[in-house]
Amino acid sequence: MLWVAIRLPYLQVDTLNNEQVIDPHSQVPEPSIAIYNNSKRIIQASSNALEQGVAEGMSMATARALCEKIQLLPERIDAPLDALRSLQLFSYRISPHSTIEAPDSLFIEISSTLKVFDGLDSILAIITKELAKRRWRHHVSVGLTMRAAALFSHCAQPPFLTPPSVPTQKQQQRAINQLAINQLQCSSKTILSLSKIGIEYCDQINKLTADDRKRTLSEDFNQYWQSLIPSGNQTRPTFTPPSQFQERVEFLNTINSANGLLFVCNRLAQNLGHYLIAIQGHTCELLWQLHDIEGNSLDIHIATAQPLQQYQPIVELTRLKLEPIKLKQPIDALTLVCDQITYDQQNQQDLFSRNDQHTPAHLLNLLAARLHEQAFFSLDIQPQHQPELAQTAVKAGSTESVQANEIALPPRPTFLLHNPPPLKMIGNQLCWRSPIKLLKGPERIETGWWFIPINRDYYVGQDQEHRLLWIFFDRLKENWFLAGVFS
Amino acid sequence: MYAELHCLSNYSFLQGASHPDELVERAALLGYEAIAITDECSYAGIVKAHVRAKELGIKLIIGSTFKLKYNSDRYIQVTLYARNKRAYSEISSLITRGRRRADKGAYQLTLRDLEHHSKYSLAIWHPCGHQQTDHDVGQYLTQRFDKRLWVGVCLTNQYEPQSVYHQHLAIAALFKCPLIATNKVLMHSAERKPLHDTLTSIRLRRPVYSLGTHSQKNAEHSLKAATELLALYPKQLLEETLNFSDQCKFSLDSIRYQYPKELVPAHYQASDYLRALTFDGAHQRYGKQIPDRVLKQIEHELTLIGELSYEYYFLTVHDIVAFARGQNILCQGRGSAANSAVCYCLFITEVNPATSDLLFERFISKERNEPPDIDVDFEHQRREEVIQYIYKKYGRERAALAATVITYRPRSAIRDVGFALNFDAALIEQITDKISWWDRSKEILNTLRSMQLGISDHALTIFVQLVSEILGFPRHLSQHVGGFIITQAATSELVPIENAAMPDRTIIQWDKNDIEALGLLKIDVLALGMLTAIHKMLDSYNQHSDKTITIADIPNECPATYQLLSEGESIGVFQVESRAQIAMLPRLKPRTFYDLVIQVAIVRPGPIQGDMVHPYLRRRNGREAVHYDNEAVKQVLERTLGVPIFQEQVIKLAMVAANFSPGEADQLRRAMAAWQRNGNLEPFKHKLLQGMLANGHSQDFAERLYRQMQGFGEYGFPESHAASFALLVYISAWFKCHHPAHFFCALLNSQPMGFYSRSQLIQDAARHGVTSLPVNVQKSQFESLVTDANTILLGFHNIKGLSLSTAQKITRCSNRHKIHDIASLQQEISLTRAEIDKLIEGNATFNISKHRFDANWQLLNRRDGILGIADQSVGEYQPRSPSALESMQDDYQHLGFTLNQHPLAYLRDRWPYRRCYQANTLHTLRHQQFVRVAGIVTCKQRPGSASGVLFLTLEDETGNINIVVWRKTQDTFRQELTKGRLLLIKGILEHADDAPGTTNVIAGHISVCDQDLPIDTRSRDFR
Repeated sequence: MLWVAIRLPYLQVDTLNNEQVIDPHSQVPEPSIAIYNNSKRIIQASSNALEQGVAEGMSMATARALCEKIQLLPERIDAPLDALRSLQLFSYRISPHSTIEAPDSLFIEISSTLKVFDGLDSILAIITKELAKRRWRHHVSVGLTMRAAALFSHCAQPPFLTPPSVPTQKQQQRAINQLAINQLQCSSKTILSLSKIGIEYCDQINKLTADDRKRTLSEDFNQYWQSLIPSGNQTRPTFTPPSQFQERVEFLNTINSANGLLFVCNRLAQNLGHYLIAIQGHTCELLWQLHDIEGNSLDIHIATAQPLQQYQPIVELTRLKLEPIKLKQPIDALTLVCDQITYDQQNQQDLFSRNDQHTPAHLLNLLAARLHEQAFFSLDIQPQHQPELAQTAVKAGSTESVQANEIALPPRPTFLLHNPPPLKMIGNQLCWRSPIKLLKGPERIETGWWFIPINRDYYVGQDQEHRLLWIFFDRLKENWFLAGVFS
Repeated sequence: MYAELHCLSNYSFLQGASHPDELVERAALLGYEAIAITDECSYAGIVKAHVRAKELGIKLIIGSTFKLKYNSDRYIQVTLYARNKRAYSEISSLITRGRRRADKGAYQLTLRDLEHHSKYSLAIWHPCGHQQTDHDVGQYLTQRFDKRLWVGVCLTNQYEPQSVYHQHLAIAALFKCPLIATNKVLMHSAERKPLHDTLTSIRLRRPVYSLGTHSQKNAEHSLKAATELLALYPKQLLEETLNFSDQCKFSLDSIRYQYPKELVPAHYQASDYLRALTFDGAHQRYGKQIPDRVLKQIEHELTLIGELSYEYYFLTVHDIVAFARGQNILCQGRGSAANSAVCYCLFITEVNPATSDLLFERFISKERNEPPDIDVDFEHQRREEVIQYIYKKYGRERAALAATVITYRPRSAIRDVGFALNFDAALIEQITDKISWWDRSKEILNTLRSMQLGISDHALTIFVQLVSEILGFPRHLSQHVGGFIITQAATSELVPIENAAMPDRTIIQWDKNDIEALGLLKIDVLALGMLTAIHKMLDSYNQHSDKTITIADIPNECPATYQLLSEGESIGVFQVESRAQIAMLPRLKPRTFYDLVIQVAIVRPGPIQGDMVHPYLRRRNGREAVHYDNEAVKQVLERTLGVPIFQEQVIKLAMVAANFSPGEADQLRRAMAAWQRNGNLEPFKHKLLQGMLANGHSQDFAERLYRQMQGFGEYGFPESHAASFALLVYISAWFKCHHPAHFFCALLNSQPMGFYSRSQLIQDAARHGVTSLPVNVQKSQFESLVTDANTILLGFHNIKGLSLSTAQKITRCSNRHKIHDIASLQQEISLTRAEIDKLIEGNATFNISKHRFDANWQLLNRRDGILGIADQSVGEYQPRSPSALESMQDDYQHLGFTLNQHPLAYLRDRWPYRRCYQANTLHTLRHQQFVRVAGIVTCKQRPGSASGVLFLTLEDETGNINIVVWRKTQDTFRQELTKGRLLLIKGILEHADDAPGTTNVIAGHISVCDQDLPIDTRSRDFR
């Protein structure tokens, strides 16, 4: 067998970073990003952050001191998996035998497709071209076993790549012998044990018999060591592409206009196209989901008369759909879903179909789908003193009410005025549209000192039309305002 | 007009946002009749409030608030108040009950617990609003308290105060209790609201912005002016608070404290018993003929002790010391107690009144009206035995340790405030990284302001303000190092007791300042590493000698010993091993015991700040004439050549040279002691200067004396204390001089203690001709031991992570002689693999294997956990030998030192180290020569009295290099100084004129070379 190992040590950073640089017309400068782990140490950094001296293992404070505008993000274990899966899908074009090893590696067994692609150098060229297009920093290596390929991918200069050549067993063994033991992918305890008996390089391990290795180190290490050597027992995993396509991209910086999404759509559409080609499928229906910063999601369905396989028409249709859309909130993620792979006419559902169960939840879903989602929400109480923060919009029909029974608030209007208008003082009388009589209060609220200080005395008042008003005296501005009207 | 009856101070940790004295001050300013401090299940803040209330003339009511469990999901709030002494004790006992049941910092009480604690107290109950509960609770409380129960109503922050008022009124009427106003104060001023929110944030571990309704809605729970109160409450509710206050007549001034009586045998009076013990001890000390001077002193002291009724105190301390001596635990009193002949005869102290000029009044005097305070040092490794003796003798109910209040320091303040403000973790780290261990609070605030933090001005202003407010806030109580309160009755009736973090330890809720403020008696049972070391020196020596010696047998005034000290060879010697002391020794050149007394006292902020050091040295070395302005001054200063060095000299001078009365002098003494805390020496300055000038003293001398007073603060030594310590200096120096092997061996066996690491001690031992042999699995004991006059066999205790039990397995094995390889460690001694691993790491198997690699190979060869089965070959693989560098790295990693080459020796041939001078060549270079030196940072010291100068010690393969870093250089190379472990320094060499052999390098440029240092090291840092 012959394995290609692709290791992507900065995958999480690169997938975030590239959403910004994919648009050559984007005015947003390339951000400096670094990912930190639970110990608050840097584990990955973007290339321009690395250029400014940020390094793995560094403390966050040091990273910030070296690179003032750096964005520090926590490690997410799941994020790279999606990226690896998309790469695996790409690799399906080269070989059906591949496997992912989280968090950062993909292995492709290419012995059966070497001739199809005219040799190792062509295959490597295809892979590196794709990786360059994605702008993912990578290490690529080859080996006669998966473990050997993985081992070489950690070398500064992996063997057998310049020029690319299929190694013999002897050549591979020689390459392994030259490696230091701390490059082995085994437990630190094993490496410590090896160093404690004076072994520094892998060639010295050869002096240990299998029995020595099992007895003095561990069975696991013995098996690992043996897995570096080709044998007849190697298995080739076969990759089966998923039955549907779903890919999500998250943005480092939010996108405020629908047109700004086009470049990301372009990339996702390309990936869909590759997928369809790979599985030799077609589709007439796909779904774009635009996720905004408040967790809401705008769905854009695209249905075509003819089944599609190429990405370009998808991109064109998407552009047409996006053009009239005015985003209410900035978008921070985008998903493309395609689960209708074979061509099939789907009946449009009639809103009032007799076959439907008209449960309230179902009706809510239909209304949400037909109306603009941002025009359809419920209000929920939050345990906040500041009235403006004490209400949030939640998904319509949601039962997310947070600790409502713990919050004993005085009566307040359901809707608060976004910009409280000032009240007039005519003589000694407060007025809005007519003189106001104070009924209850004051309720003093002093908060927000860490950002925008609020210091107000709230009252329930009544005007001459017997409207109940919620007003406040702003003690900082020394003026009266109308907060809201009771229904 | 009003008495505020419900205040939480910051001793309700992370709930109250004001110090107790701030609450009292504000209440006084607002014209309150009284204020109650009612911290939650605590009396921790009441003494501080009491002291301030007395100063301001406002009444303090003592109480405590409790949340009592009613059922599985409901708690009720009751506040109890001490109207008299019995009520006070009752509440104290209730607090103790609740605290002792729970983990440290928490308490558990139910409503039923009031059954035993409700006979005397007044109570204010705040109904919870749940009808059934209020009904049941009201009934219960009425039964318990009867006419001593009030219903409290807080109308602050009520949306419909009328409704709330009427609800409470109805409850009060139902149970026939008066209704009373309480404002539930959480802060003394509304300005503290941000700090209060910050404390809530820290308590709940959520940033302030996310607190929501967990924070206070506003700042209304603060002390209010009369007009505001009248607008909030009906007048009768306010008047009721005055009625309530009138019923509370208890003051902390009325606390009287009794020592345990059982120490006095039945047929004795305490004074007679004390007399008998004293004279018995005097005869032991002096034989049949007690010197007249001592007799007179004893009589004088016994009379005064009797007049002040302190007999039991002395008897208690004597009992503890007698126990220790009976168990062969070395101990010695320190401080002003060493002025006492009675203490000497009771074997509490070791300063002989026959040969010293003691001032008993420095210890106790009628005028001062302060209780005595005896601190006794015990061997640090055996102090626990003494503590357990005290607990066993008096019971946990009658003996408890004083508390230490752990307060916010700069780093913790920055971290917690930064967290509350939701600063990025990286930013918080960036800020704390910039703060050095030597920065004082004011410097830190300035540093924060000047840092380019990349945050808005508003955020920075808030951040700095909150940090400055929270600095000094109490966070929790911890146990004092050894201050004990022992009482005749249950201690909990005097002060609440709670659990400490250490198992089986309890503490009272007051710290030493509180105890002192109330005039209570405390015994400090302290730990001193040097006493352990001296004991071990004696034991080690006696094991190798025909005769057995004790401390008393050590020859006095040994010239060789003084010569050793005069040469500055004092590493490991008690009290005189710091950089500053080592620099002073060749200048002062001690030749007598009294010189050591001065040596100990002179290198202190007091004399240094008073600029008395150089004049003393000049006079001592004959370079300046000694003169006295008058006979009175001569009497005070003659023994120190006209220069005030000891604390009591400064006080005496205030009297004879500036006409202070004894009372004024005593106030001055207290002000000096408290200066570090609240800086109030200024009122004395004018009188001192004017008085001295009027008596013909120079302005310069007067001002220096005043500066010396400021420096004395907490760091001034009474002469007797210096004398106590000088004794230990002499003994340890004598051993170093004459029996260095026993000296160093004992120090190694007594770690951790002192200034120096094992590595430095071993190197110094080598310089004094003592060879250290490596740990040896066949021969070593747990502790290191002397094998002959110049050789130490290092013990298993030197191996990091090797337990005493493992060492005991080895040393108790009778078949040690059969151990010949690694497998036999398992076969003969039944050591586990992990234990053998430790021995190999510590290179203790060097003589049963070729080297560490070989030993590890033997260890790895096992089957089913059994090493070296007879029928199994070890394997053909032969590990290589480790290089010298690898061995050295392993030594440092697992032992903390190496017996082979020093790390610098491996670097010496490389650039730039080959251009650097070694430590042992510096004395040959000329004064003010430019030099490069390199070494491992072993010590950093930045004394407060040294104008910000930093003293570094670098260690190379030949010795230590003294580096002086001026302030400006520190600012330039701050990162290098705080982080660097291997430094290369360019600077100017200076020889001290008056101290031959003393060399310093004044640093000009500092580079970090940590990448070349193959080991992990850590310096010891001191202020």
